[in-house]
Amino acid sequence: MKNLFLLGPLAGTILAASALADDSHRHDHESAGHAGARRTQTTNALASSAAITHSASATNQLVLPPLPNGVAELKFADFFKPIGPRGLEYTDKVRALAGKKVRLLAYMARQSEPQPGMFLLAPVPLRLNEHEYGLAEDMPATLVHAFPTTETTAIVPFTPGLLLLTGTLAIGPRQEVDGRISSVRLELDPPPVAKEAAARKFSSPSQTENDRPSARQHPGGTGAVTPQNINNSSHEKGTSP
Amino acid sequence: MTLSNNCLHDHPLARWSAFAAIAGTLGISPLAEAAPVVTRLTPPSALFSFNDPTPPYIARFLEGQRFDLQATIVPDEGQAITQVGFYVDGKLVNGPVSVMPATAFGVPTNAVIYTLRAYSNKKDGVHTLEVRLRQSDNARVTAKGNFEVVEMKRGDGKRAKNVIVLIGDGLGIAHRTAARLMLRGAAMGKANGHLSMDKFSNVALINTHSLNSIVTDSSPGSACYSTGNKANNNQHGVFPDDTSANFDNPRVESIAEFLWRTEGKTLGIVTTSDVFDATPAAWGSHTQSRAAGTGIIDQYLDEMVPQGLRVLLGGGRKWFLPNTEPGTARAANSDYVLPAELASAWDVPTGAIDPERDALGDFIDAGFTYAADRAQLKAVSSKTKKLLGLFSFSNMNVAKDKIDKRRDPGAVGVVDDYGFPDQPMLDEMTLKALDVLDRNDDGFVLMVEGASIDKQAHNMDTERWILDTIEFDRAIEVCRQFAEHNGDTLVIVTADHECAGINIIGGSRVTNADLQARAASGGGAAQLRNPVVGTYETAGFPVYTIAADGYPVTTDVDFRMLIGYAANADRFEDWLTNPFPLRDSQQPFNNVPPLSLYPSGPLARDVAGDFLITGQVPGETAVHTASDIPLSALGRGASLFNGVMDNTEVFFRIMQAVSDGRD
Repeated sequence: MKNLFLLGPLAGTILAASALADDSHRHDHESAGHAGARRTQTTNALASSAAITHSASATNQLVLPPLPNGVAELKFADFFKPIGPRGLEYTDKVRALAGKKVRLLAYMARQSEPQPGMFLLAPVPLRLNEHEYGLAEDMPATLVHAFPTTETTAIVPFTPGLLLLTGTLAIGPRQEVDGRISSVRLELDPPPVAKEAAARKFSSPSQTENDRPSARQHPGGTGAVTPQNINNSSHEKGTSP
Repeated sequence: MTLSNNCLHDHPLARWSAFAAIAGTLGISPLAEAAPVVTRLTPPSALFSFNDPTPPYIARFLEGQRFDLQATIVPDEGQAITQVGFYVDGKLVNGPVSVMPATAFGVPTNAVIYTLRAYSNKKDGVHTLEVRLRQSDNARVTAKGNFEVVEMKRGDGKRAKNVIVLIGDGLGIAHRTAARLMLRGAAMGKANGHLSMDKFSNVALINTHSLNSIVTDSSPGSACYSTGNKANNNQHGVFPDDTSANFDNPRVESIAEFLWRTEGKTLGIVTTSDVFDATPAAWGSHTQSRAAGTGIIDQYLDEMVPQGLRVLLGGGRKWFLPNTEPGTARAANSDYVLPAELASAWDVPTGAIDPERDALGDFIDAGFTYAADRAQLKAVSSKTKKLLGLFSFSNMNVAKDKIDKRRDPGAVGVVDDYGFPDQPMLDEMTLKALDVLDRNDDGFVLMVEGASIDKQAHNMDTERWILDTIEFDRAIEVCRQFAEHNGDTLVIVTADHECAGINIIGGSRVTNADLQARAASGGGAAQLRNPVVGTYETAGFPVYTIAADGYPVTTDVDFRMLIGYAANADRFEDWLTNPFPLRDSQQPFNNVPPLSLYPSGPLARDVAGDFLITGQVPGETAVHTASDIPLSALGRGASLFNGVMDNTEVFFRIMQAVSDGRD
């Protein structure tokens, strides 16, 4: 399956990728202690993912909606040049996109100590256990600090699955309030209302009516839309990404 | 009243005993009247915690080894502590006593911490330690503990000039057996050959418990060898305290610091992990937080380079880059600055919160030759006296993936995905470290860690931890040969703890081709357990072919060795070699495709066979166990190592070999 269902509008909203590509299913079901039904589902999804070779990009295989005008596609692999004797160097592409509107397909990191007004994005599901390891663990250089512009005081609830976001790109090391040093940041565009989000629903050719996820307004008041795939009951709070 | 979560003295019985001890000292009933309470007395002792004056003594030191004395005192409401003194064997210990508030979570807000730094005692035997205090209402309290100064007995007059401690992280007995079976094989009931570590003359079994748990982590598991003392999990080079600061804990002088100060011996640290990781850090830093990477790296530079650190090889470049460079991990809240009184007493810099520091540049300015890859390491001049090698951003890639790249340089392999295609093997790093350290006429202390034995055992990635054990054994062989040519060298091979409850459960009853088919069948246990797992005589004698590079041609052989995990998390198992390592959360590039396609946990791997093994532990990885681990010794003083001993005793046996009882 290479389907991607998007519930939210493209501009600045957390969008659902519910019936995901094989690899994203894999990551969504990777933790221990699932219920039996979920385990069966996981097995099937993982079995299909085994065909993916490691040299292919998972996210490249997804069918994404057309880019909005004035928005550039950005991938995690675009961030840095090959490593030299010291540290990391930004690519010309990411330098050129700094300050401009970009779109990024990413996972939201699951944090033990999330901070208000920000959340973290990664190209794979990521669990950060700051409570135990502080800042010395799980600090990938490609981690993106995302800042919802409409909500700066509430903690954004964890949302599993792939998210497609647009916002303004910023680069350059910067100390954040979470204690990390960000290298890449995304100032998210203001979210649209849920009605507009529903109107812009995107579906792939292989999508069936029953596959379509429903949408609900984010309870945290951020304006973000949290995906709910009716065929994917594992996307529940308390389960691991 | 609650103290820090990891405090030995938190146990209700311990606190009651402590109170009873105090009350007993005062000759009053414990409930008779209020009084200030000493809630912690450092160094830790069973006498203070349990009112038990009998052995084993928890804190033990060398003659003249420095350590801090500390007491946490909770005065009565509305009262203040007006006088505090530390007494050893009834005599007041001279020296400044510093005062700081207890800031740890859960400690009463009026608790106060009194510290006397860098104390030492040259008289062998068990000593009583008392803290005597007076409150503003003139109430007086005494709390009592003890510690031991270990006698260094005279031997044959021959002293070990050099000490090499090789720590296979997580290396239990079965890890060794598995590596031997893969590397040498066995037939007709006998091993066909030996590992290098098998050739050591003396063997002992080591208890590994930490100060606050039967199951240790790598911080105290490594620090027991470098300090001779127990520590709480996640802490090394220090005793626990009641402040939230990571670097102000009561310190214990390390073997490297002691031998630099007393004999001018230098220090080398070599690891396949990030150099800030707990096992190497325990040999060159003092902190209650193994995660405080910026401060640990800076302590290497600020404190240990002036105290003889001459070789530092491993991964972890991210901690050496200023926070103005992308990819840095340096952050203010993992950095260090010491209380002035601590720095003054221990004669070390106070440090600074300086995440902008270019630690890589500072190492080079301090005279270190820097190698960024294997080629540069190989090219290091034989005249080099200080060597820094940082071969990856965080943990180095494992042996299997490094070897795969060497065997097929033109192919894109795992090491390419991580961005570091030319990483040295541990034996190559060890050989270069010995070249540099051997230039010191006064001798050296070298710690070599096979780090990913543990990390891959956590992942239950069988072939990777076995190959890392083989890589570790090749580093052992380098040291063994060095000791053969330098008879005044003591070589110790041991572990910090066992990891994953590993054992060899038998051998496969099927060919690799058959196993591949079964693994793709989705048949679960009916396909992958019942007809596959050969036990007892059906296990046979698995045979692996070893290539010229010293590693198996392939680990996917017919009738292979099968490994079980007693400390396992849920996992799918198909017994096949996993094509990719589990994603390493410490790698900066782990989120860049194609790394994003690596399985991220044991449940995302080997699933096609649908053979789920339910784990006994929560989470996604196997865990450390409390079982004893083996120790092998070779060379000068090796005969001191035998029987079953506590891990801290290893430190004293090493120092026995070094000192031979001489002052």
